[in-house]
Amino acid sequence: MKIPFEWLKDFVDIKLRPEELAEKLTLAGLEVGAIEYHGKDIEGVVVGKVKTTEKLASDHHLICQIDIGKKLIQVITDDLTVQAGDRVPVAPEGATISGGITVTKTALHGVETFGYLCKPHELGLYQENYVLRLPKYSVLGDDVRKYLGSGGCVLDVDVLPNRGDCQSIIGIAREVAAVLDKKLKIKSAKIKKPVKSAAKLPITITVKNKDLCPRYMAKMVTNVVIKESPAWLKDRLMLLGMRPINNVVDTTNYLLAELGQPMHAFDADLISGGKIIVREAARGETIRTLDGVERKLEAGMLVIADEEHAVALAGVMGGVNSEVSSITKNILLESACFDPVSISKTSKAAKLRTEASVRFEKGVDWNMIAEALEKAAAMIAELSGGIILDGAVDIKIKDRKPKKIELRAQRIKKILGVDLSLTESIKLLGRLGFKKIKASKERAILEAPLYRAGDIEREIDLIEELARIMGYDRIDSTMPKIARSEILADHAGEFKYQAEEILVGCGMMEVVTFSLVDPGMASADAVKISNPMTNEESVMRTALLPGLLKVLSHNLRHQVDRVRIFEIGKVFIPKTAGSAEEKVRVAGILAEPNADFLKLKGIIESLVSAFTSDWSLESVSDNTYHPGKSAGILIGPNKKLLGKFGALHPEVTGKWDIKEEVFGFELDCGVLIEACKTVKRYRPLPKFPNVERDLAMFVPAEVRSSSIVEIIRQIGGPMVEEVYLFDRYKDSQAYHISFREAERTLTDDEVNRQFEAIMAELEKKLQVKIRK
Amino acid sequence: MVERIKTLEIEALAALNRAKTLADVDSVQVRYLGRSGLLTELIKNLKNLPPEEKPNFGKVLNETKVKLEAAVKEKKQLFQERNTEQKLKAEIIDITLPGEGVKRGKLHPITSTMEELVGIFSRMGFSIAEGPDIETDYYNFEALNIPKFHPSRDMWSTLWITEDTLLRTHTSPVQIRVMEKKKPPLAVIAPGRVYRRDADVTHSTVFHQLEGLLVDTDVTFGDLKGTLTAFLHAVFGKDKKVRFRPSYFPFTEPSAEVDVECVMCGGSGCRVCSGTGWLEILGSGMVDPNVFKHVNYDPEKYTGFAFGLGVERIAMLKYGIDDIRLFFENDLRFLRQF
Ligand SMILES: [Zn+2]
Repeated sequence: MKIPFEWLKDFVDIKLRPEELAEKLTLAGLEVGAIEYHGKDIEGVVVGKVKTTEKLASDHHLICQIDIGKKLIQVITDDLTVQAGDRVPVAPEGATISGGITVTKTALHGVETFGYLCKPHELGLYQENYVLRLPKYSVLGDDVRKYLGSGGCVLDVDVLPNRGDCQSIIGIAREVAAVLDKKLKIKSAKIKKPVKSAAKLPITITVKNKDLCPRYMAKMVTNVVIKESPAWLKDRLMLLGMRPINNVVDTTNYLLAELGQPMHAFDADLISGGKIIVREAARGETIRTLDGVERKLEAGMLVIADEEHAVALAGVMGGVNSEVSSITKNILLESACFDPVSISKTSKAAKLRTEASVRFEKGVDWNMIAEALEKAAAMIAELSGGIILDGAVDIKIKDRKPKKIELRAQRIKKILGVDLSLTESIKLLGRLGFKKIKASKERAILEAPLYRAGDIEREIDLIEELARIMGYDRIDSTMPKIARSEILADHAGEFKYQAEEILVGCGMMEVVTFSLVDPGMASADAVKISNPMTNEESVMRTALLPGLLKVLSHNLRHQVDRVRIFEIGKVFIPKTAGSAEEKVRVAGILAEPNADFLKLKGIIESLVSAFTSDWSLESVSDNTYHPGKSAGILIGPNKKLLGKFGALHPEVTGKWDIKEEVFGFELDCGVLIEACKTVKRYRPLPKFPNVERDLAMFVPAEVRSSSIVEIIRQIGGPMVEEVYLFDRYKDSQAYHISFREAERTLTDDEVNRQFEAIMAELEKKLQVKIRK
Repeated sequence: MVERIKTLEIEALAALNRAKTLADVDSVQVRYLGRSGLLTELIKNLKNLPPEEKPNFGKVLNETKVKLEAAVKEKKQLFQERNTEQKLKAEIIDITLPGEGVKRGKLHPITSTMEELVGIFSRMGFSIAEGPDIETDYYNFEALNIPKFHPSRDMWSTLWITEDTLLRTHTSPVQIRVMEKKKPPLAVIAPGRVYRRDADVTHSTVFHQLEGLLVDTDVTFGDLKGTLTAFLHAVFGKDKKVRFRPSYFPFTEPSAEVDVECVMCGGSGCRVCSGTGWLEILGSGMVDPNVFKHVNYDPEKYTGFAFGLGVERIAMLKYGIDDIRLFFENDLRFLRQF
């Protein structure tokens, strides 16, 4: 919300600099996002009068000879509407326009231009594609800023969503007065006493739906002359970034900004049948709004209509069919209040947010509806020479009354933690317009001002206002004693820390990818977003690996070719339409020159065995993986599937244009967390020594290492304490076997017997060749 | 006889002097001091001398023996030291070669930042709670005092799944889920992913928040200030100024935006803080009585405060990152820097 500093001073005496005021407002909850000095970056732009114009060869430009006071200069412009006699802002060579751009001498089609004719936005004003025209009284050669209301300071205030009452200059002025502890000056700006007529309103008004339109007021001003607004009015509108249009429209815009009450001016002679009807739109009804868009109306939208058709989309925008134009003679002014929810729905459905709709959505001040209408009529009458008709219409449900709210001293202490007497509290709240109805030492009844009806309803609202106006810095910091009814166990968190640590230790970099993915990266039934930003972020991921492949592909494209990455995050397994089971998974990828299945398996072993020793592998069929280089991991006595790992199927990596072999895994953290909840039991250390033997052999290609281990254990029997492969080269494998009995020392003889038996069985069953 | 001893001594010392290796010293030792060395033989011969000569010769012999032994020991030590020195010299390696074995990976900066923040609150005594990413309108909005069509809904640009389900726009629904299950007193934090229909250099559709909630019989706004100031001092340093200013959230009242003195410019104003000297870090406030009513807590008896912060924002400030999209691109050249 733009608040011109000088305009604010119409209502409050401010002795502070804008920066000082901004600081105070920010700490009172009205954050000043920026302080702009209007026209600050404009330098050397002067008033010029167009002497002659001539088309440049291309037909899209004019060559103008311009009198800038003491000399004549030649300037080319692309605005073909510029005519001899126009007064225009000229930026000669060396001048600076908005955005800090310095004008230089250039040439177009061989014709030189010694300056530039400025459009409004190039002088920090509103957006428009025509050169700005300056008033007739402007003096040639003068700095244009004199005529633009420039030099003014504008505060950009971020009004909080609950503070509908602050969406106006007067609203901010009330806050400033409260913060500075000053009186608000209520004075009507520069309006002389207008001419009135006792004639009745020649238009009848009916409100069909009072729920959606609790108050509708109208007034007429006749015999108006539509013309340009005076400079002071135009200046102020330009400071707000609004384009001056004519004296009537400028007036409603001016008062909207100043008082926060949106009003609409109809050309009364274009209201068919002399009737205004406030009603819901009929099916299939259309209206062309002032922005020139033909809009289809829907049931539930509120319109202002005459006898024949809609003349305005209530509270949002007027219609072209009743627009005030240069030939308008009689004005019908509307000042009303509409249901916030209905305006919000209409504005969303029509995709049209306006200065008016934004204010109605947050609720307007009930009393201001009438006050603003009076002011608007008076201002229009004065500026246009019109006559105000005495009869006014005011259709309303019963008048809104200010709310009475109880405030207890004990409650202030309980919420804020400060000792503040009720008397002091009432005094502070008084600055914000709260009136004391009655008070004891412990409790008081206060009345909230009507303009705060939208956000002040409860005791807690009063306490917040109290904290705000006395300043949060007056509340001392304390440390709470933290008591809890129970300590929530955090298995998932503990698991995550541990898993991260292991994988990082295995040389893997953690990545974080979007849980919203392209439909091609998830299963066909994945949960869909109904209003996605882009197709690439339109469904919830059903697996982590596709996201990791996307990361891999990004890195490969940037010549980063040793990639070990992992992610721990949720996947969303679809259940019924629109819902999903959220599962935490851990997945990783290995893509580097020497990657192979066993390197990945080593990582999997490090990870899984940190949580459980009870796990085994099985072959899997899963089209994500290479059928001969992948495995599933089974956990616990029930052989629950933890996940899979192995080389990714070339078709899977091919989708990302990855040619190298990629190894990956994806495991369900929930299964691992369950597994590590099993209680570990201690086994006593051995009392008797062991006997160790190494066994080297040539192994045929089709024989699995697990079969060899199985035979060693089966033939060796219970005295085989441990078996593992300790060396491997081509087809040669070497196993280490440890023999031990729990209750006695083994003799060499008995170990030798078992060892011989093992060797014989291996050669017979598996056709291995023992190396002696 | 004495001359012989002296000559022997001179010879022996000269031989030691000529010795070039440890073996040379060994042979000198054997020749003079060995089991049948020249000096040893003289000592053995002592018993054959007349008694009156014994003391004198004995003394001289002993002196010579001690002297030679000391000389041998000294010489041996010298050669041993020299040998070790040479051996070590021959074994010098290039210490600048890279270490072998797996290079440690790294945590993503969002994770390490989140874990740091969670750690601070855990040490204060907060427990961790979690909730689903796919939420209902009720938990994300209604129970948090944000009714349908309320203008404050515009504060969150929501990604919808069905008319009633959505991707949570904040971690605040976890507050409701926790309070529905537990009775006060409670102190929880809820880290998690949140989603908004919003994307530019500082906004991402997917990002991370940390939510906190403390409810007990006498929790005050002063407690909120104390807790969050302590937290910000732990993250940004004790010398940083912290300020609380009024704000609006439908589920807290009074509400406060918490700013910390800009870490880039130290408060003098820069691009990062838009010239204000302050960085907005936390949204917070006293739990609104309407929220307590939704979970059947008695608002007359219990009070509490809640807060929420964006993890990416903290990480961006911590590491001076100016584009949020870098976090999710996962370029390893970026991730290796943390
Ligand atoms: Zn700064």
